[in-house]
Parts: sequence; C-alpha cells; structure tokens
Amino acid sequence: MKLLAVDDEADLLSLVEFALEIEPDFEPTLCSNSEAAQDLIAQGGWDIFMIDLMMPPPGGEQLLEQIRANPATRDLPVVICTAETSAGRREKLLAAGATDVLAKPYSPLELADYLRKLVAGAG
Amino acid sequence: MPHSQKTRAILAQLPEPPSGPLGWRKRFTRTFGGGKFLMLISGLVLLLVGLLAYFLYADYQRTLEEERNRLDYVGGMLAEQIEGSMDRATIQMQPLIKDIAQRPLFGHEWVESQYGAQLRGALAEINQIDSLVLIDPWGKVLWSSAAQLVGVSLADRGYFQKAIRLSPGDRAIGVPITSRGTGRRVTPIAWPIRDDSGELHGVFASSLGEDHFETLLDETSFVPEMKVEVIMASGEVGFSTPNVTGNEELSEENYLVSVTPANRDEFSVAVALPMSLVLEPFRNRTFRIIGLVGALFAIAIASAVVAQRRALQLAQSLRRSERDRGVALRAMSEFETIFQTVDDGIVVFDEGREFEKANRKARELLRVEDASAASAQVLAAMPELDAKMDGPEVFIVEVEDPDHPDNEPLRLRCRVTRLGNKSDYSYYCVLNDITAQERLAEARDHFVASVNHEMRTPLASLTGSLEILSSRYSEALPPAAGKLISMSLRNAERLLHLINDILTVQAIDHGHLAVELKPLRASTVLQDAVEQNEGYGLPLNVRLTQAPMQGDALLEADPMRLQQALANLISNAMKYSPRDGEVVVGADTSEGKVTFWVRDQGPGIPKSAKRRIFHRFARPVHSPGVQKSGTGLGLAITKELVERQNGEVALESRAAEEGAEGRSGTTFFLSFPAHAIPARRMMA
Repeated sequence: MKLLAVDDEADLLSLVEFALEIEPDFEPTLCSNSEAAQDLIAQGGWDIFMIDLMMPPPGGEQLLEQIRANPATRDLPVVICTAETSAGRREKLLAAGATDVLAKPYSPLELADYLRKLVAGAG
Repeated sequence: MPHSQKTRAILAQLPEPPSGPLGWRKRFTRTFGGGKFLMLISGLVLLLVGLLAYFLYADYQRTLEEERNRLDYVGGMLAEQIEGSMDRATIQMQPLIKDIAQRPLFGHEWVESQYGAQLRGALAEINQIDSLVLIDPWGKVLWSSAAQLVGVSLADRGYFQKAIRLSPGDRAIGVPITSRGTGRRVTPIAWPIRDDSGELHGVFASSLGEDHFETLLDETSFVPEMKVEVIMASGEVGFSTPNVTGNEELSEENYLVSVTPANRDEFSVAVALPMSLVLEPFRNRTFRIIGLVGALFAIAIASAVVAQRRALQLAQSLRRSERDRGVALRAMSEFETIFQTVDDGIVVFDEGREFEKANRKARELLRVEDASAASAQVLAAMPELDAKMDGPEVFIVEVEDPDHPDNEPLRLRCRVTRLGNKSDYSYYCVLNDITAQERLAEARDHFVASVNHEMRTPLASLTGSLEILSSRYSEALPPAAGKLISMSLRNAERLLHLINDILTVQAIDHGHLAVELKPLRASTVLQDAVEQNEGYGLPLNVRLTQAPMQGDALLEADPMRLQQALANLISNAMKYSPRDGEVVVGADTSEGKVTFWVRDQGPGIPKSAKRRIFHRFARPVHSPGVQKSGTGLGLAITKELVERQNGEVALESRAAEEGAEGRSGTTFFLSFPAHAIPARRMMA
C-alpha cells in the first residue's frame, strides 16, 4: 500500500515512519515540503494520502484540491491531519473532498488499522 | 439612573396632592379667594341692604302720610255732614219753636191738646232726632215723646242750662247720657224757645238719633275696618261706627288716627284705621321688592362667586403649568447635558428627517460635522426594518479610519429603536465603536488557535513516540525506564486534556460551542458511556459497572457533548475512588425526565463546597492528601454542556469530613426532559 505522508513537521513524519515500519504491507513516502509534494502527487501511483492542514503554502487544502482535480487521483482516500478541532472546520474539509479528518494528536499504534480501513472503504 | 439631586429638588417643590377633606377655612379661601373679594361682596351686600332699608322707610312714611291725608279728608267730610245734619235739624225745628213761642204754655194737657199732633209730626219728620221733650223755663217737662218724663224736672241738666242762655235759632249739645227711657246712649240737643221780644218760653230738648248718625257714619266709611267716633266737646263719645266696641282705645300704636274738629267746636270726628290695614299694601310691596331684589342679588352674588372661583382655578392652573414648564425646562437641560456628555454616540431622527439630532460623541464617531450628516450616514447603513419591530435592531456602520495602516474601516455597532406610527416613525440610534473590541477578539482567537496548533503538534510527536516506545521496546528497557515512560505518557495526556478543556471553555464563552440536539435512547447513551470509559479505571484498579435500567426513554441531546459530560463525571468518580473500588452508572426514567447518575465511593463533597465545585478553577475541595490533580475546568464544562442541552446537574453526597465514615460517596445526576419512545420503535 503506497502512502504519501506530507507534513512540514519532520518529527511527525518520523512518527508515521516508526508506526508503519513494522507493517509489511505499507510503503510510506514521507515529504516535509508541500511544493515537492505537489510533484509527487502528480507523479501518481499512490493508494492513500495523509496530508497536514497547516503548512506554508501550498497548504493542505490546496493539495487536496489538486488531488481531487486530477482524474487519476480523484477517487483516492485523503486523510487531512489537523490540530484544529472545531466542528466547523471538520465539516468544511469533508465538503472539500477529504475522506476523513484526523485530529492531532492521534495514536500511532492505531494508525495502520485506520489507514487500511480507509483504503478498503475507498476500494 | 436615579433622579439627580437637582431633579429631586424640583420634585420636592411640586405641590403635595390633596389628602383628606379640606378644613372649612381652606375650602372657604379656595372658594372666595381670600380677603379682597370677600370685602367687596360684603360691601355690596351692606350697600344694598342700606339702600333697601332707606327705600322701604321712605315708602313707609309715604304710605302713612297718604293714609293720614285720606283719613283727614274723611274726618273733615264727616264733621261737615254731622254738623250739616244738626243745622238741618235746628232749621226744621224753627217753625215749631216760633209757633210755640206765640203763647204762654199751660200745663201738659193743654200742650197736648194744642200742639200734640204738631209735636209728634215734627218728631216723625226730623230724621236727626229720635225723641222730643218740651221743658218750661223752670225746667219742668211739659210734654215728652216718652210719656214717663212728663212732670220731671230737668233744670239741672247741662243742655238745659246751656239752652236757656242761647239766642233764638241757636242750639246746645249736651253730654251724652244713657237714656232713662230706652236705656240707649243718647246725645242731648236743646233749642231755646223765645218770642220776638226774646223772652224765654221754654226749651225743646231732644236726642240726636243714634241710628241716624250710625247709618250716616257707616255709609261714609269706605272700608269696613274704618272706625269713626264722634267726640263731643265734653270729651265723651257721642256716636261711633258699630265696629267700635266698648272701651276700646284707638291707640296710635295699633291705629292710624285722624281727629278733625267741627267748625263750632261742638264735637270732633276721630277716624281710625287699623295699622295692619294701613300698612298692608306697604307690606305686600315690601315683600315683593325684598323677594325680587334678594333673588336678583343672590343671582348676582352667585355669578360673582362662580366667576371668582373660575378665575382662581385659572390662576392656579396657570401657576401649575408655569411650574411644570420650569420642571420640563430643567429636565430638558438636564437631558441635553446627559445627551451631549454620555459616552455612547446617539443619533435621533424622524421618518422625513425634519428632526435630526446627534450628540458630540456620535459626530466624533461618525467623523461628521452636523446631525444631518450623522443621520444620513446611519440611515445609509441601516437595513430594511421589519414592519413589526419587537426590539431594537443591531447593525454595523462602517466609517473610514485614516489612522489604520491597511485602511481597515472603523466598525460602529448601531442599536436602533423605532418608535411611533408608520407615517411618523422616530429612530433612536445608539452607536458604539466596537473596532477595538473586535480587533482584540480576533487577535485573541488567533492567539488561541495558534497556541492550540503550536502545542498540539509537539504533543502529538511526544505522545506518539512514547506510545511506540512503551509498546515496542518496553521489554528491552530496564523496569525503571518503563515506569518513567508511562509517567511521561500520563502527563502528556493530562496536558492534552487541559488544552481540550481550555478550548471548550473558549468556545462556550464565544458562543461557538456547537450543540446539535438529536433524539437519543437513554439506554444507548449509558452503554456507550460505559464502553468508552471502562479503560480509564484499569490503571486505577476501579471497576465501572452499569446498574440495570427500568424501562427506557428518548431524550434530545448532542451525543458527543453528552458523552463528554458523562466522561468528565466518570473519570472524576474513578480518580476519587479507593483502589478496588467501584463506580456505578445508571439511568432512571420517571416523571417526564431522564436522569443519568454516576455514583462513587470517594470521600464525598462537603456541603460548603457543593456550589463552588462547579466554578472554573475553584479552590480545592479536599485536603492536599485527598485532592486529585485536574484541570479545574471539568465540572464547570460539564455544567455548561448539560445546560446547553436543556439539562440540569445535581449532586448528592455524604462527606467523610462531615462524619460519613465508611458510607461516604458522591452521586452526580444529569437530568433531561424525556420523550416517550414511539410504539413501533419499541418493537424494533
């Protein structure tokens, strides 16, 4: 399962890496620069995206927009991670096309199961 | 704001409302307006009474005078008639006297034979006399119409003595006497009988016929009440009208009397009319005049009093309105002062903007010079107002802010109240500059949001790392390291709780807390609560058990917020439970309510703290050894969340501190209005 995780916070990317290193079915690619992420998204070949909301532009919303605009990636699950927890923001993101919104902090121990469920649901 | 001292002073000057009945003096003064008017009225009354008295007195005198003149005239006329009557009798007697004086007289029989018939004829013929006696010069009666007098001597009688001295053709009137023959009162009259040489042959005596004179007087009287007396020279009454009785005195007091002497002083005639009769026309006139004048005057006085009263009332109301005007003016100037100095901008205008007013603050806020520009600016920003405006409408007026670097406008909150009728609305607008307030709130929200993000991000790394460390590498670490890791993890979670609680409180304070009410089954809520919170008690060795439910019901609540509230209560209960203790949760449905409860076996909450524990960051309830650590926001948030969902929070506690050893513990109750479950859903 090819995962693209985008976050400007390197520690959080490491955490994803740690969490998934014992899961043989995951092939995570970590990207801490959202501009570089745009190119990675465009290259294609992904099964699921995990994108931080608040990053220097282009932010999470812009990346989501790019994914949903491209027919190749349009139907792939996208998880938006955010520290902001208000109900309004969550609704807005779901309306913009996010498959789910994951509130920080999340438990890394449950991450693999969570992502598998989303990919299964999308498939 | 209460009345200022000035206003109170003005109010104190206002007249007290009348209380209780007025005293007569006050009422009198109120009616007549005091001294001057009363004096004027009294003066007029006195003048009128004086004039009336003078007029009546003059009328009285004139009446008496007229009547007296009339009586004098009547008296004179009567005297003349009586005198004439006597003259006629004397003349009628002359032929007989002449005849008898021709020869000497020889005794009664001779006279009878010679003159008897002639004498009787004369008596019958002369009306004025009712008897006839012939007396010889020595006083002896020779012949009499009353036979018993013959031979009697009348020489000592006054009229005889008078008559024998008289010249022929004359007469003598005697003192009235009571007749021996008839018993009647008679006035003697006597004529001397002399021959041509003057020698006395005798005297004819007679009595003036009372009947004749009475008839005469009676016929002459023109009113029945008139009394007439003929008083002889001797002073005795000769004749009188029949209505004169006995010894009646015709006193001046009761009668108007006129006495007229006859020409020859033989008698005088007294004519009297009762005073009552004399004064009757006068009295009638007086009554009529007094009645008329009195009535006229009473009307005049009454009119004057009414007019005076009206004038007084008018003056009083003028004074009152003058005073009211003073009060109004002062109130106006007071209002103007407040209006101009108040710290809110106020703009007032009417529908047609004929009246426009803006205070200093409003002009300053709107950056305009006059009231017209102020109302124009407010009106431009005002939304279409509903026809039925229940309360004030609030809208924002934006004004250019030359001081702001990004040209952001100043924002004025305008609260408008509309009064009056559709055709004549008045608008009262109160302006407040909320720019600073809004910018501050914005800055604060931004700060909280960024703090949230900035704290959560490292916290996410921290807790994630610790979780991976403890789950994957705990076996490779020494036991002490494992303990330290779990302590770190616990504290990281506590920090996360605190951040969550602060965010919830902020959302509540800003009204951003979204509460979405949905129908929920009480049993489901309870089951979820147990499932979600069981794990919390594991490290504390506290069981969470669910009490069996009697029946079920629906309630309206936000499932997430309700679970948040229950989680707060359950985690608190577990924290304060003894090791191996038990926390029991349950739900009761009765009396139209669904009540969730959470019971622990903790130390209990003393009475003094039962209200305080719901306050934010309340000071600790328990002693340092018993008090558990927490954010200090849990119960405050629980109460807010429950009340937002139309519920109530209550608690029952037996505190160990207050002597409830071994049986201590606290039960929290969350109750919500219940809705019956529709039958079909019950079956499903």
